[in-house]
Amino acid sequence: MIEAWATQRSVRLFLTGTILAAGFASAALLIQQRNFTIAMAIFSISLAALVGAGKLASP
Amino acid sequence: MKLVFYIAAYVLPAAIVWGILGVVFRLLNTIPWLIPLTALAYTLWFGLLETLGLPFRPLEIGWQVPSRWIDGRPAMVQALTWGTTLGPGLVTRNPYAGIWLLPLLIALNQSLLIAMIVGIIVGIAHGGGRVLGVLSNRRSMDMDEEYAHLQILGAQFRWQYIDGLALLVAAGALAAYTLSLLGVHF
Repeated sequence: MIEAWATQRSVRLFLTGTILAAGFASAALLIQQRNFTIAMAIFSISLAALVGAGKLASP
Repeated sequence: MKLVFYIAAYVLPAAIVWGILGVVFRLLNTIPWLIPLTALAYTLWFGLLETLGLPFRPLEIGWQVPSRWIDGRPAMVQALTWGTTLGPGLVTRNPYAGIWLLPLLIALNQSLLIAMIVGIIVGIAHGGGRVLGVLSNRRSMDMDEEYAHLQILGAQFRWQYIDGLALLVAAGALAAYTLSLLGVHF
């Protein structure tokens, strides 16, 4: 049910804007606190695990 | 023991390859603006395509492990071959655009040593994730081949959506970072 909701065109568009803004706002805060590079390192490690594990979904 | 060797066959080559990539891309980051702007354009473009579910051709190397490298070889050699090629995730099929963002993000680290360490951890995370995916795939293939194939395709679409959202978070963050490099104070 969540999947059907999340894949609607309007929800996709809403998420696109919200996520972009959230990324910008969190980064602005992290830059202010001088923690941006460490946060990006943690983000890249998480993204690597996501992309790697995604292979389970690849035929 | 066999399982540990199988996991290590994926994780170790990935750690080495990504550690080297970390150093190489960190050296490229000496060119002002190159990495942040490339990463921003990349994340925005592919993040929008994946999140909005628009058709696109992923930047991937379509190379596959030749069957002669596998057929008739001992199980240990097979595991090593699969692990070395699939673990780092660079030379085989990968439908997720997030993979090519990783070298650019690693390059943003402050020193060569930190970039190398983050690269190694990224490699471990990728190789570890990949081996778990392969092991999980094998289990679902044991069920019904046609059903498993459909399930895998459905999961790929969901995964691509999540990858797109992750790319958009990065796009927003990189936009803020680029502005800070231009002298904008937050």
